[in-house]
Amino acid sequence: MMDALGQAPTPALSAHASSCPSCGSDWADLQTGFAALGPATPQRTPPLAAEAVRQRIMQDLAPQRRLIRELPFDGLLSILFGTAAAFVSLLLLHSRGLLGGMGPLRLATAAVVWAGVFILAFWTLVRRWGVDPQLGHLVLGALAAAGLFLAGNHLLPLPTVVQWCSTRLGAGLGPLFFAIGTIYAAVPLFLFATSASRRWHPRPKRVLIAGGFFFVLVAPAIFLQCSYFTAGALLAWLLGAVAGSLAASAAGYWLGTRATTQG
Amino acid sequence: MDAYARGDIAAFQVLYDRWHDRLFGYLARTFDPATAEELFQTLWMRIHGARSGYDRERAVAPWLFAIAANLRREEWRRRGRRPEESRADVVPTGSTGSAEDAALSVERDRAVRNALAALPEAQREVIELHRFEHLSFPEIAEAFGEGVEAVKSRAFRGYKALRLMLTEMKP
Repeated sequence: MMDALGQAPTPALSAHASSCPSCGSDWADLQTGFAALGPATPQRTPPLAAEAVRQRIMQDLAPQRRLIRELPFDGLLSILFGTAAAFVSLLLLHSRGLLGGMGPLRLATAAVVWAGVFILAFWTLVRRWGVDPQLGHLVLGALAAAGLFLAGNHLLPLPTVVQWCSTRLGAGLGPLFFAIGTIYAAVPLFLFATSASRRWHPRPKRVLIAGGFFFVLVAPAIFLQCSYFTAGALLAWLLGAVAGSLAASAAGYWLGTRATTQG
Repeated sequence: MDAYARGDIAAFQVLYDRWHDRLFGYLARTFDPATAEELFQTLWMRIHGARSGYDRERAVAPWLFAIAANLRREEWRRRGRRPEESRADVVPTGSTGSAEDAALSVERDRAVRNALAALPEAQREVIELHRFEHLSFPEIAEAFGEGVEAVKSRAFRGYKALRLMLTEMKP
């Protein structure tokens, strides 16, 4: 019976409603209630609001469309970019003599792991860009921060700095690896987190995820450079990098968000 | 909708042109124009954000109105009260009648709005989607994730209550 509201009732329904007092009464009630609401008056969206929303969504769609069209073989491209990034990173370390004396098995394992991490980063970037542009930006930022870390480490290798500090200050290698490792990770990530929070307004959790991505990207470099040192030094540096990533993500997010609010 | 979910701008334009007035009307029927405008923007951002999760097996109308109904409920909860019963009247678009006709139309709209506002939320939501947005009962059931019979039963009780209220309100 309800399905016939607002439409011509079927002959069967009409026949039944006329012969059954209970259904007839219900049907009359419903028809009267339905009709009493009057015609639905159409509303038009205010033109400015309609256009603002249209433009906002079209702007959001435009870069996606270009990216998808330009990068049709995302898996292949991710492998290409990831392998190239790992190769360049190894070349940077090698040019500084930081890979000397390392066993071929250890080197090969680290190279494969590093390439895998880079491939994952690029794949996330390319695949998720269209679906979740903000995540794409964050992964791109983490990659840029990792690049900055490697460039900084190339210009001023961390093990060299640690040894210099140890000789001058007489401090233990473990604490020095932790402290300097924290600074080396914190500086690029702080720059990235501040600028990302200002430009893309991500949620804090996402900035921390990007910080984690950054750590995973630089961890192989730390592992490779610590071949001359003890396991304690390696652990101290890794912990320093984790601490730097977390602290810089949080501080950069806070500063970037504060700057946006004040602006 | 499927093409829009894949990032097709032309498909978005078609969808937007087809639905934006109806979705605005759905919000404007309950909230004042400024709030409706604000919610309209939020609604489309939500639709845009959720497009990748659209199930191509589903019809578009229930999917859109499910998002709109959720947004409306959230706004009510945020305000901590029921929909407005005496908001500023909106003159219907396209009215060409005399001043007396317009006044009668505004009066009738107010009476209908007050009667709808007096209904329990569950009944009002169903009636609005059925009567004003022309969704079928299966579509409404899909939007709310409920059974068709439950939705029909709510509509039945709602229409009966409305008949009584609107009869009493008549001068």
